[in-house]
Amino acid sequence: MRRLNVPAIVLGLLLLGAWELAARAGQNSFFPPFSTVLAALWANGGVIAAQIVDTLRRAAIGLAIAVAVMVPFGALIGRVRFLGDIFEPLVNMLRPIPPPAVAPIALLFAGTGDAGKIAMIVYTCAFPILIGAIDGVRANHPMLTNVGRSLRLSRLEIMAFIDLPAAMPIIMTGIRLAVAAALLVSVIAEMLLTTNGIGVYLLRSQENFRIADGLAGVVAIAVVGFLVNDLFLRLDRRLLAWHYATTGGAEGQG
Amino acid sequence: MLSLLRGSLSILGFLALWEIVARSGLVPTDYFPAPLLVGETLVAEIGRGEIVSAFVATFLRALIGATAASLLAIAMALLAARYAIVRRAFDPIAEFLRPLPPAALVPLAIFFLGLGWKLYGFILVFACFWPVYLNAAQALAATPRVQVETARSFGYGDWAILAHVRLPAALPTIFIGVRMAASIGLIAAIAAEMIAGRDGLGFYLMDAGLSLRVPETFAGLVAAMVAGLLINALVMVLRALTIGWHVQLTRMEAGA
Repeated sequence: MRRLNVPAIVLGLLLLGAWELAARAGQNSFFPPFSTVLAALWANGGVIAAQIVDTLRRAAIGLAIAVAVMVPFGALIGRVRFLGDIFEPLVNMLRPIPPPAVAPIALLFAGTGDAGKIAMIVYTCAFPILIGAIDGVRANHPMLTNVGRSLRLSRLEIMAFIDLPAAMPIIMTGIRLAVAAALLVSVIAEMLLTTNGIGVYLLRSQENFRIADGLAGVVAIAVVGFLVNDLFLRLDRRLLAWHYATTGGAEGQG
Repeated sequence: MLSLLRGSLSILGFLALWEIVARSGLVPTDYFPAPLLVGETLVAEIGRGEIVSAFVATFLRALIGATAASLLAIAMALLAARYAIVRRAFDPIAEFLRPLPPAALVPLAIFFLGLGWKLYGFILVFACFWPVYLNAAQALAATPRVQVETARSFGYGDWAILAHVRLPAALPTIFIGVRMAASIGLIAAIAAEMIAGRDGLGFYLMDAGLSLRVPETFAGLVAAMVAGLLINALVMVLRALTIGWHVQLTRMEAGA
C-alpha cells in the first residue's frame, strides 16, 4: 500500500532546486548544478555501473563469507559455555578496532587484489553478525530447549532446528547492520588499495577535476545503497513474517 | 570478578599462542611481529610522541564529530516528533542518504571544504547523524499513549510533553544510536585520515603500513583499539549518568 508522500517530494524538489540555483548563480566550476550532474550520470552511466558492480560483488562475497562462518560460530559460542569462556573475551577485545585500521595489515597479508579487500569486508561484517548470533541464541526461551529435549533431539539438532530459527530476528538485525558496513568498507578498501570499483572512480574523478562526473558517482552509489538496503528490509520482512505477525510491525533501527 | 579473571586468561592465552607462532618461524616474522615486539614498539613510539599526537587528533575528531551529530540529530528528531509533516518530508530523504558510505564523499568534499577541520566536520557529522536520528525518531514516536494522555490531563502542552515525557522515555533507545554514532565516528575519522589526511591515526597507520614498518603498523592498530574502547566507555559513562534509572531497571550489561 503506497500513497504519494507529497511533503517528501516537495522537500526533495526544493533541495535540488536550491542546489541548481545556487550553482548557476555561483558560476564556480567546483560546484556544478544538479542538471550537469544528471547529464554526467547519463554520459558515464556505463562506466559507473561497471565500477559499482565490482564494488557490490566484493561486498556480497565478504558478507556471504561472514554470514556462513559467523552465524554457526556465534550459535556455538552462545550455547556452549566452554567456548563462550574462551572466545567471548577475544571478540570483545577485537570489536573496538575500527575496520579501516586493519587495511594496512590486510594489504600486507593479502595484497591489493580482491583478497585483501574481501578480507577487510569479512572482518567488518563479522562482528555485528557474530554478536547478533550470540545474543540471539542466548535470548531464546529455555522452554524451547526443553521441548527439543523431550522430543529426544540431539544437542546439534536442537542448535540447528530450534536455536537458530528462534534467534533469527536478532541475527537478521546483525546482518542488516553488516550490509551497510560491507558497502562502506568496500568503498574505503577500494580507495586505499586502489585497483577498481566505485571508490577508485571517485578518486580518479577528483584527481582529474571532473567534479560533475564524481558527483554523478556519488548519486549512483546513493541509489544503489538505498536499493540494497530496501532489498534486505524486504527479505527481513519475508523471512521473519512469522515473527512480525506476533510482535507487530517491522520498525527497525539503522 | 570470576568472569574478569577468565576473560584475561583467555586473552593472555591468545597472546601467548600468537607469540609462539611468531617465534616458531611458521609465518615470516617480518609480516607477523610477536606481541612482545609490538608492545616494545608501542612503548618506543609513545616515547617519540608521534603516535600520541595522532591518537589525540583522531580521538578528538571522532568525539567532537559524534557529539555535534548527536545533538543535531536529536534536535531534528524532536522537530520530527512534534510536527508530523517534518517526519513525513524528511524520512524518505534520510532513507536515501543514510546508506551513502561517508568515504565516498571524501574525494569531492575536498574541493568544497579543503583538507582541514571543515572536511572532518562534514564527513563525521554526515556519518554519525543517521543512527542517532533514526533511533531517536522511532523512539519518540513510540511513547506509550497512556503516558502522553496522562501528561495531557495534567495540563501539559505539546512541547512540555515532548520535553518531560517523550524525550526521557526515548533516551534509552537514543543511546543505542549514540553508541553506534561513537564507533562510526571513529571509523569515519580514521577513513578520512587515510584517504585525505596529513595527521591522525589513519595517516599514521597508512604511512607505517605502506613503508612496511610492520611493528609500528600493529602498534597503531593497538592505539586504534584503545581509542575504540575509550570512546565506547565514554558513551557508557554518559548513559549511566543520564539514564541511570533505566540501566538499573533493566540491568543491561555494559557489553550488551
